[in-house]
Amino acid sequence: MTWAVDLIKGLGITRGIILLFLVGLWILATLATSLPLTGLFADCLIRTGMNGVLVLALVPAVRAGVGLNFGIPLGIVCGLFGMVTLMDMNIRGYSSLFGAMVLGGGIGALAGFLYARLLERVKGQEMMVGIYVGFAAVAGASIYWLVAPVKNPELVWPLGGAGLRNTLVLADYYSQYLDKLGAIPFGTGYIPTGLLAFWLGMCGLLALFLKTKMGTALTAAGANERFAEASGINVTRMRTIGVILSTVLGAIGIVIYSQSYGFVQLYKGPLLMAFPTVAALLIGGATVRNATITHVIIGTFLFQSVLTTSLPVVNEIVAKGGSEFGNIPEIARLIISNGIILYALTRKESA
Amino acid sequence: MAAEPVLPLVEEPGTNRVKSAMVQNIVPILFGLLCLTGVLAAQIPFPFLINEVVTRLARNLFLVLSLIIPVVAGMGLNFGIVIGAMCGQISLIIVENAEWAGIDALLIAALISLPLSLLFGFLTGLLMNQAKGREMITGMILAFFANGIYQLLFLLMAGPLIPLRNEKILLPTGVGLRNTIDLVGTKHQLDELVRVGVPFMGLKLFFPIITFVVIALLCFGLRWYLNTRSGHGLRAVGQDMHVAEIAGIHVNRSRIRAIILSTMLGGIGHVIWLHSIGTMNTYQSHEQVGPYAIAALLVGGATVARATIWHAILGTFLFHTLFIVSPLAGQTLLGSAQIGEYFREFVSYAVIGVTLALHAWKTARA
Amino acid sequence: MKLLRMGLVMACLVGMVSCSGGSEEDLAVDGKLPFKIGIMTGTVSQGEDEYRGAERVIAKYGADRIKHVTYPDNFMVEQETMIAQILNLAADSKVEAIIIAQGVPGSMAAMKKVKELRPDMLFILDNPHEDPHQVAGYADLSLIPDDLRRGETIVELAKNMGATSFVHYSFPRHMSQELLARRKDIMEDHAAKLGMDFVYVNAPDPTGDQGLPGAQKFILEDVPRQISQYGKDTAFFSTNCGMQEPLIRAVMDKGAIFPEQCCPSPTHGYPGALGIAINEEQAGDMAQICEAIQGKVDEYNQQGRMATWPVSIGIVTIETAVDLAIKKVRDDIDITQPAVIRESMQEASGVDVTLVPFEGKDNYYLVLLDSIVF
Repeated sequence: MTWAVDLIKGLGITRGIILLFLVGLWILATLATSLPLTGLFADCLIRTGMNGVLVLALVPAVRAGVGLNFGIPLGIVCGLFGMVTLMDMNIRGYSSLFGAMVLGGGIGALAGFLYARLLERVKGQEMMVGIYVGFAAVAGASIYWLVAPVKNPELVWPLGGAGLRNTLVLADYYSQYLDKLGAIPFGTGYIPTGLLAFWLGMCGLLALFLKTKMGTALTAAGANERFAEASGINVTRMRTIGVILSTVLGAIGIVIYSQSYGFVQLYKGPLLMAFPTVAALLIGGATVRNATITHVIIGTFLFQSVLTTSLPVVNEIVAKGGSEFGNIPEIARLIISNGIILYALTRKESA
Repeated sequence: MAAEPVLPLVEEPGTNRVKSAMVQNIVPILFGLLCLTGVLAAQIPFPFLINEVVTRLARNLFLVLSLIIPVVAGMGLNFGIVIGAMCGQISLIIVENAEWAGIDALLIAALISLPLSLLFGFLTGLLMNQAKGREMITGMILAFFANGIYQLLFLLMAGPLIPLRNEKILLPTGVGLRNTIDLVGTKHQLDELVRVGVPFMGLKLFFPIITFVVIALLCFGLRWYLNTRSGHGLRAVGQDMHVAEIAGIHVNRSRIRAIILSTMLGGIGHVIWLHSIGTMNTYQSHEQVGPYAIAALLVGGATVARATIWHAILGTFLFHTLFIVSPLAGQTLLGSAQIGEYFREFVSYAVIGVTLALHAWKTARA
Repeated sequence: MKLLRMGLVMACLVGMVSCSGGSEEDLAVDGKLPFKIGIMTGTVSQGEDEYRGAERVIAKYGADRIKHVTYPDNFMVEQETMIAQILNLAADSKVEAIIIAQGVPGSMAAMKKVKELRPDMLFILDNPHEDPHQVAGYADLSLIPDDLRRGETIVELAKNMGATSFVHYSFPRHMSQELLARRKDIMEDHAAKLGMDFVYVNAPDPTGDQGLPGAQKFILEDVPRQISQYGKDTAFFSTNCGMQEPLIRAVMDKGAIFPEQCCPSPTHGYPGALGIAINEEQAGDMAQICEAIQGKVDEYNQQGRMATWPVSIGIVTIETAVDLAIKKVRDDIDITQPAVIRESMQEASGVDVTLVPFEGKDNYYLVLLDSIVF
């Protein structure tokens, strides 16, 4: 049981509070509602795996000293481009899924390189520039979706006959392929073994990379620029690598997200995706200067679980009071879950 | 008595003054050129354009100006302004509920908003001090949290618990406020108090004189304040918290003061903004405040560390001109209404990214 | 420094003056209409129907007679842009009527502003989002799907399709819109009358902290939960356009009942949710699209459990509005007469139309079409 004690200690007070809140919600769900706890828990795991790679994508940028990469929609747009291109070529199944990752990641690498060049000029304001770069990428991509020369009749607008639809359904391509891969039935839901394995695998790969010579140089460049420079590390190059990795992972992340979700969301879909992603990482205990794989795993699970669990539980409880209380659940969820996060964020971290 | 740290607040005139001035103002200059191109492409009749730009200046300037103080204090993007905007809305709801009308009603609304935003600004400031270095994420989550409280107050409690009785603003069930509220009593009161119409190219140009007088007063007030001891203290905190601390300035207190002032001004600014629009979007108007006011300030040449009144005025002028002309310009250039719309978005966001990059280039040159 | 900045402002102003003369020349009268009509719609990502409706009338009357602009995708946050776009339309002195589809928030402010400068401007609103009592004071005519009566018709349809319970997804911001809130109450009463369970479920607001993806994911997770509690014979309904696709998908997968979208049309939600293939010849043909949906419904053995309106109300309303605007401006016909509106609308839709005025207003009409069950 020592590992459990260590876990709580490692979590710190912030994570502790949110974890307690989450456990409280689960207990409440079991005692006061007819919701199947297993189903709720399975949903939490699915959402965690779905968002996990996107949250992971933030790590290399933080490590390289660029801060929280609010420009992650740039990578997302690249991943969407990869998916859409392969779908238009009528490629289905795993080849389409991994093809989209490769193509999206490749374009992401290029976009990430250019993005890094821009960020190099705005040192100290990377996060603010990132927000606007992300927005611009989404708007620019929207123009492409409208004029894209797609031929696959499943993708074009039904009335206009040209351009890509708002929502593309993945059911006949690779919807939930990873989720269902080796899935273990669990009460009313299932544990998405393949999805979680893929995510943890990516986490492991990144952890390995950070242990290599280049990885340690990257971390050194982010930790103390002058010191790194003095010890012969090319800081600019390391920052560029960090941003490229982040953008590539963003592209892969959206492919994973979409396959689990079952739909591809174009146009405004990715606009605000940076914010919950960043929130998850910060709640995991990361800061603007330091982020670890552990932060990713804990943060994604806690944040997504609170979002997934709170609304159905409050819905069920309030529904017992009658319909005059109809609007309370969503309002209560807004206040409680954001209040808890706010409370956690403002605690002084004790080591 | 600790000495005030000496800060380089005035840019040094270079040997070649014109060239240095160009470099200094590269952002507004490029933006101005972009606006000109847009105006040429959009082909909007000139009097309409002027009318719209003047209206937008009167409507937005107060809000943009209210952002300056936190920038000076080094707190960057102030999400507290959303809280201020909520306070402004609450006071307008009170005024509309009582069916007060006229310029005095607007004045009352502005006055009611002050104690509210003083209180909430104080709380925001406390929170921000607890989350130093995490101000942005804290501000974002705070906005969602505050939105929940706001909905609780006005969607569930207004009517049964909060004594709002006016049927014109309540939903027919008597519980909760309507989605949109027509500001019958206060709309355009300040704008039309003294409104000069100048005939020009076959149309009348309208100038809301008193609104501009109020804005001018705020400009002088800000200028005065930033030169007081308290104002200098804020600048020192903005430059370097540690140095300021050593210099004997109460960093936390200064930061709270900056947020309070900004929240209060933001509240009044939002009252002016809403009264100029004329209808209040009860549950979302306050969300409209932050990003554009910040963008306008940046376009005017301000940086995260330095913002002046001139930046605010020039930025509001340029940013809103571009917003008026770019959808039509995009449509004319690209031939499709919706591509024009995305083009506008792309340009306005991309430009801000480029703007910030140019600042860096400028700093390197200067 | 200040001088330079002042100079910059002046240079812009001068630039504007020097280039503003161009818009008066292109008024050579040759086309069918002696005036222009302005149309504002959303982009296709907001909903394809209105945008294509505008394209159809442009094809019919010519791009020089119909001026088409769009409002921003996040119109709730960019009201000023929306207002400026309407003013841009009104800035063309040949534009004598403006159609706003849909009447998103900001419409009232825009109409007020235009009427200050051009009191004669004719405004027709499709599906106004703002308060109906107040909108009726500004718009010359408003047409909106009859949300109140749909409260009864949808529940009745669901009952006929075999539903024993009815799940209604919405969130606080929508419930502060009068018609949506009242429709929910009507549905609840009517469901009770027909002996059905009515369940009101809160979903996350798509404009809130989780964004649209969060709201959509919630729907995908929640539908199976509700079915496990109320059984397969449950009808699902949501007030939000963005939720239709995941809702239709989940209902199809789990074999529940889907009586109608928030904005009824064969093109709303169905093609995206079911991945319906539309080739170039079929594009825009409602009958063909319905046939394609039928194919998918058969494939999932969902016959008799999915439904919508046979035509797109968005397209029909725009075609009607343009027709009415011409009647008003050219022939000075009183277009607030129900008979006049019904005639235009039946011509545009080709199906039977029911028209009811809203609570004593003579320029705000609620529209109802028959349903098609797949």
